Amino acid sequence: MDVHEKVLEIIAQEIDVPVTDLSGDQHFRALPNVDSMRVLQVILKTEKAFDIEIEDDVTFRIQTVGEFQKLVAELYRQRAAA
Amino acid sequence: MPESASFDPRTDNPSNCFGCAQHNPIGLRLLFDADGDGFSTRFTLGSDYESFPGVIHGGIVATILDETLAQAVYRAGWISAFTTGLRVRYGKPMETGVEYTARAEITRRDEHAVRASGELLHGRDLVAAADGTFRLLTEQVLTEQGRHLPSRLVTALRTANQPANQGE
Repeated sequence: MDVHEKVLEIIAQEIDVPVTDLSGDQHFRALPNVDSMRVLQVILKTEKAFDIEIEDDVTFRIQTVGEFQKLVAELYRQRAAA
Repeated sequence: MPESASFDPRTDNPSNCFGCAQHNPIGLRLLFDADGDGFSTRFTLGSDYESFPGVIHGGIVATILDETLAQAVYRAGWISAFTTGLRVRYGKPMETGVEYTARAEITRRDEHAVRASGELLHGRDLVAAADGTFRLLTEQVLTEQGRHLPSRLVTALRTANQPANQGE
């Protein structure tokens, strides 16, 4: 599974935009249709897809789509190694 | 002793659960139904449960989700359980006077514990979500560790674990 691509798919599906419209350097809060509810949905769907747990402070710490992809990839790697 | 701490004289039901007992005057009085692989409840709360004006207190939201997860755990095997961990995440405020649905289902289980996940929804909008871990209070657990609990509680748990009490 390509983690970065899957994360983009989850975000695209949740905010209802084509995945091709998303890129790693985009700021989360600047994406269309994003509000706190959709951010939570993205986090929950990502946790389920990768069987990981994402800390609550991520919504404050993570600025861009790329940072979120990197975090998920690291958590997924840690889970696979455990 | 406040009225809410007494047994229901009409049903003689010893449960006075803040979440689900139907006679508790200050309780949430949630009613649950089977819903796909889980269980759900629909409800509307008033200003008695507010934090900010028009907004349900976040602790009440957590209580609703804890109760919903616990009901899913109990109804899946008719074994009582204690919450040992609960993680709640909030997506938007829950408002007074508006109907919501809380739903939960089991995600993992072994012989000792169960994990469950749940959501609080307004229509299709996600208001809050929770994951919880529940310690199963099987007859073996009650026998081995019941001496650490009030005897009245152990009796109530044993009663709840009997198949004849399904649906309560």
